[in-house]
Amino acid sequence: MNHRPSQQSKDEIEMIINQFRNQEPSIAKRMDQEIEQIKLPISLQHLPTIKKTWSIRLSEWISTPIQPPRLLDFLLLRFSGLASSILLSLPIPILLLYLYLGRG
Amino acid sequence: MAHYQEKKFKKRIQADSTLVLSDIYQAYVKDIFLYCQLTVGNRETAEDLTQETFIKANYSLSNYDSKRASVRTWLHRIAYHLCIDYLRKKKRQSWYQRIFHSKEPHSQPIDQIHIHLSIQPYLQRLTEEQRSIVILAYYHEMKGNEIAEILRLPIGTVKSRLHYSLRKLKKWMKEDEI
Repeated sequence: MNHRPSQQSKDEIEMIINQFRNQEPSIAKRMDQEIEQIKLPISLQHLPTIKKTWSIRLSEWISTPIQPPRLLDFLLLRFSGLASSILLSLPIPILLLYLYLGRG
Repeated sequence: MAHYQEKKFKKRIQADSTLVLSDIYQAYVKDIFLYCQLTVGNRETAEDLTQETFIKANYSLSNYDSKRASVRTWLHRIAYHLCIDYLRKKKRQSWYQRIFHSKEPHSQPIDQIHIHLSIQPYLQRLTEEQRSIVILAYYHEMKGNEIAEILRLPIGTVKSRLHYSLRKLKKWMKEDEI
């Protein structure tokens, strides 16, 4: 380990926090109220429940079909019009070539 | 967490990893959830990240080195990495959204439900590392060496970043009050 803890540094963190609490009691109060508002969700309150949730999620992941990459999705969407117009216009030059060769 | 309980955990982990998971869970689930909630600013994501933290902990329980860190520090380190990964992924997604989709119909409002009228918008303005330092030092009352171990930073850096982050928070909150 690179950083060896020292008693001095342990106290310093506590000191910084205490100093902040003393200097800014209203802000500190607001910050403390924040923590009180955060309650543990019911789904996390018991380990057996969480295990059940995990297995449900796992089955969801397995049953979910693999989505194509979003960039590919974007390219297909943007260029499908262009691609289809190229494909549709392909018979015209082929027909012209056939007519030209047929005449020759 | 009492020192005695930490000692008890360490002994039991060495003896039987499955036996101790439920105890570790009961002792630290709230701490981990709180950390995730304040770091990512979204309750649902925090729930998922808390679950993931314990899944990861369960898998790597046998690799836990009690000489290196306490159970609490070790769990927070796992949670820290998961939160960082999530936030980086989110940043990349929002970059993609900005380029390819001008409107984000669902993600914005859901994220902001739980951060309205609270300290969280200010915490979100800090960098991921600064935010973690404030949460761990202020809310979790962790010692410098514990925070340094979780973030893998020198203690001096932790102290200076804590100073800087608290000063920033104070400044932003006072500006908004005016």
